[in-house]
Amino acid sequence: MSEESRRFALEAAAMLGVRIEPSLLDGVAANLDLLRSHAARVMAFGLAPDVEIAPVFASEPHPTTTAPGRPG
Amino acid sequence: MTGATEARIAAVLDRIGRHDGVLNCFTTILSGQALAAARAQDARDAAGEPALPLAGVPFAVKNLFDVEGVTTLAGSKILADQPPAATDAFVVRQLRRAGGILVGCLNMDEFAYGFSTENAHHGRTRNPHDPERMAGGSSGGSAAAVAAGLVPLALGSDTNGSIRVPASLCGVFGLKPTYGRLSRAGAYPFVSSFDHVGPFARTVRELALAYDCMQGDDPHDPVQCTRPIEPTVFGADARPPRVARLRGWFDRGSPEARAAVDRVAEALGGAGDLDLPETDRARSAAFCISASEGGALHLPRLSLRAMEYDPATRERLLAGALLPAAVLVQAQRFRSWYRRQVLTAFEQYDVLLAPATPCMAPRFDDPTILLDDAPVPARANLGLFAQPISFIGLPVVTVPVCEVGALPIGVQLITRPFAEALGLQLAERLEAVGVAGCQALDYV
Repeated sequence: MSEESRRFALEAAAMLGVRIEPSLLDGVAANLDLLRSHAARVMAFGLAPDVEIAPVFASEPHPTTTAPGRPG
Repeated sequence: MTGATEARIAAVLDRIGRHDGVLNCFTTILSGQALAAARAQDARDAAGEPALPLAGVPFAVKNLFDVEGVTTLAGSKILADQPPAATDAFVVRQLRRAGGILVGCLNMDEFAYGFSTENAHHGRTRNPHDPERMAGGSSGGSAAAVAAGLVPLALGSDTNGSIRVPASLCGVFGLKPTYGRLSRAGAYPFVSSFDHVGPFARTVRELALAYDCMQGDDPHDPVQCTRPIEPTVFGADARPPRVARLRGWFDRGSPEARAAVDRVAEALGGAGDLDLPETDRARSAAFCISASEGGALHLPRLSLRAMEYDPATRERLLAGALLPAAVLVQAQRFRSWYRRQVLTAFEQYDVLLAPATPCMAPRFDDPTILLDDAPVPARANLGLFAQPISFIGLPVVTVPVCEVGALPIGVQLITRPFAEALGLQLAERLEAVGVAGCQALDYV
């Protein structure tokens, strides 16, 4: 795992107000390294500004729900 | 005198008792209530009441579904101190109303975050075709129980492939319906954006019957779509389907995976080739959303009791919870874009074919698979061909394809949104010509 991911894990956890068990830190950093590569691939894709998060399909949400815009 | 249903359920419980010590499919066996339900069914039969569609059919559920009176574990230890569920999950209730008899709850990867059902708390579920091999996951207990014939019907959930992967490795039929088609109320969530529930069965007719019985409007799942109950009709449309075989990303698996798709394509009358754009990025986006949503869901417990989680789960969930929000937003926006691209394929084709897994069931003592002819860890990559499809919520029937004497492997029949019936009809056609089907195993 990278030292960069270890530092990031500690800073991000502090922002969220959680403590990472020291014995888990290396494993969390290794998983962040993996996530970093997937995130980079996602962030590199150019999307037009009008591409919005939308329910998966255009069928109606349940009439009793109050969350019609919930990400699908 | 023992009635027919009571005798059937007693035989099922006996079979579970004899074989589950090796296979480890079940985490809870509900003998008392199953036998009571069977006696009630026998009484209804004796009174001449009309038969229910699933009258006396034994079934079992992945242990993330609420079952009244049972604590919902979702594969964890940390939830064991929670009170028992007050009511059944919606789909469990629907199956019981249809006459199904619940016999127990089934093993899974902790919190559904895995593809192998190797659970630190509840042990590994073994593949009935070869107990030295993985059953797949995360609904591994469900698929293995059906494959071994311990129950004819089981429920699972599929977020990134958790119905399709174990269905493939265990050689049973599985249905992941369209996102939002079946209510998930009472099923412990993992990644709400992708969570689906669905059945496993040994025949297409049983799979379809279970799906039909689980349909219905439920106000307690806010993402459920409002649609009428649409019973699956077989034999209505004999038109040759327009079939495409997914290439590129989906060609990276073993020769056996490609050969299984070839057999299905040929049996359906041939297939064109289709390369979906940006599928590697779709898999990455699904990976990020899963980590982030799953991590956020568990963060309160992880911050206090991380060491009580499965070691295979806790560090991934913690890392996911730390992912910057901009990545999650971009991944969700990309999802909208990708969905739009893939949906255009259905202007030209009725069904898309792809392997459900890159390979047949890996051995526990050699947990690697070949991808692009290079060895990679099995647990992280078994869902590679399933993830991009559940990412956009398309319905998939997984059909088991098997050469005599060989291990099974599944093929995904992917159809347009809400066209579950078409997938089931095509699956039945494949079953009828002997291309797809469950093997009879020696667990009687």
